[in-house]
Amino acid sequence: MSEIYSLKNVKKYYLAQKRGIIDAIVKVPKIYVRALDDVSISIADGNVIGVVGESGSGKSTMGKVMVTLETPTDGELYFKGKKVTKAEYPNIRKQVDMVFQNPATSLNPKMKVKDIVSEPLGHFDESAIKEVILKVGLAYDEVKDKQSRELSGGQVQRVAIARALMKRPELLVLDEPTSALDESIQAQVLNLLVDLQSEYKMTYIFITHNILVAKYISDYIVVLYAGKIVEYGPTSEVLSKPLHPYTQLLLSSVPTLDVKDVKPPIGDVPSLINLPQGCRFNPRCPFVMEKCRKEEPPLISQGQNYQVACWLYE
Amino acid sequence: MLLSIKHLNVWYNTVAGKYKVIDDLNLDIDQGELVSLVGESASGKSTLGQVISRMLPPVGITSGEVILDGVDVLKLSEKEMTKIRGTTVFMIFQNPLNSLNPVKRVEDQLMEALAIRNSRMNIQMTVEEARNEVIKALASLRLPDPEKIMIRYPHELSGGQVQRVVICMALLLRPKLLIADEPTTALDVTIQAQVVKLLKDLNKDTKMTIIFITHDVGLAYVLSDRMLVFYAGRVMEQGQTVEVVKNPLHPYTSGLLASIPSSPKHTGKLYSIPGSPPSYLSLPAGCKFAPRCRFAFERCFQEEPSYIKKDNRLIRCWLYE
Repeated sequence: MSEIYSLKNVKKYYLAQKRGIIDAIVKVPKIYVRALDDVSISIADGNVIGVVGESGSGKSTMGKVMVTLETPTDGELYFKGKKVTKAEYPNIRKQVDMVFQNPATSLNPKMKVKDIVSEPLGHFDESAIKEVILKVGLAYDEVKDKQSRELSGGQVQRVAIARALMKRPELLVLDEPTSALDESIQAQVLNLLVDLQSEYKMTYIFITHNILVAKYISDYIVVLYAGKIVEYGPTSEVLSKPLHPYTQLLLSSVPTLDVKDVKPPIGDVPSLINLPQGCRFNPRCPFVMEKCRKEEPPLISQGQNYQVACWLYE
Repeated sequence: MLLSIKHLNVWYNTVAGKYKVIDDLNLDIDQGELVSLVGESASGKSTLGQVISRMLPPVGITSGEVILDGVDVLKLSEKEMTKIRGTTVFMIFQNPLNSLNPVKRVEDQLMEALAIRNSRMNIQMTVEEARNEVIKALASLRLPDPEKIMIRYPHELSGGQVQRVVICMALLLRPKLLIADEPTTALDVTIQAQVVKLLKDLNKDTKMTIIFITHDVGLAYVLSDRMLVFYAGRVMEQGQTVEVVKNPLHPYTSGLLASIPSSPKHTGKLYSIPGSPPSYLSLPAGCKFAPRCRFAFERCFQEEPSYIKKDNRLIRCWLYE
């Protein structure tokens, strides 16, 4: 399996406050929100990468950077070995696509389903539209002339997936595609996504806060905490015996049908403006050591394709 | 018996017509119970919460009895209802920011809640004592620096903190019945676990009765002692949480449980209930779940099952007659 995408020391900082001309003249220091801080990852072709983390951990930012909706502040991106630059954007956008969390707001409410789906093509090709709409499990003649408000939540998400498939992308970023759906509908959409992935041999970046969904669909898991990767490895290993203390705490807070209890971690997620010194998880970590308060741990390799950012595993 | 609901029916009267959103609901809850209402969106679970706290929108029409602490709340006037809101029944919503006044400090709002409880229970308290009690309540919710949080406005706090402030208000008012309508849906899973733990402790330590409304069966399993499964405005199954989850009887409950992902994709496809929930405007005849049910037979399409009792459970399904 070859590498399809890689991120090298990617950072994405946003300005926390608006800076007016007077602020610039009197040199008020810039305050940044560090949404994504020094993220490096290499993604192999044909896999489903589940990206999990709490809100504000940078998972959506990572997805947006990868589909070139956001330009990173610093760092380099490589798509199929080629460096991603502004001039390359149009070319890359033909091969990557994104599905958003809320289909009702990511589809044009005035457009008919057939027009929404045909838009990425640039011209109207009924047989191609029909094929892709049937692929996502909708009846073409029934939905083609409808607007998104006439469809149910699950159907609208299917239309959004159909639109993303139209260009036959090699990489698809799915940002919480099932979070807005009911459980019984979520299962239908997840099954559809699994079928499509194996049929079209796509690579998925599956962003979700739902660990159970990530466990079902992904081959590899990336755990983000406050803009940094804390653990990356095969799903079976990361979710059955997590190494990083944060991953352990995250898993013990997920309500499941096996254990009738949850064990919440103490404290809150740190502010992305004032990050704690050293490891960002140290104020909440039960195994905190002296070193953790001073130095930030790098990603430490734990066997093939398994990395964890924690001094415990040095 | 703290809450006793008998033959409750609720209709919404809209321009599109009058349609029934709760059909013949019966429910008895004792003091100190932790009951969860589970169902997909638009299954009627929130409507039930709104009926009990009398916050139904004006289009809602009710019939039947909802006896809360000895009074039928459906027959109370708005003025009488205001008197029991807060200290008898308290409701927490999904978006906690909507439950707090945005232009008042947390301290003023919590002190106001305490003042209301004191006046209803005829307790005399100096301002200093009241302040100390509020700080104690905030600290018991494991909120760091309660004094700092007191002088903040709601928008200055994080989602989890605001939800804990609302729960703190419940702690101060000591309601007999706490209705929590998806209180953790907008929160992260770690904060959700903190809130769930808090509600569980509150129920154990103060014997507060809690009705927990959620779409997450896993969460309901972790939290509650008893479970009601809603579908299309009907309670399809009712019983002890552990029994319902470990041995679901109604086909809808078993379908819902099976559609929760629990193992990786290579072990097989996820089970999914075919079709989608019906619209209230065009409900099928007979059992409302029949068109999606894999066990449906002729009778299901003609006659709607009423409550059938089996092993301590109430099920609306002809399979168990």
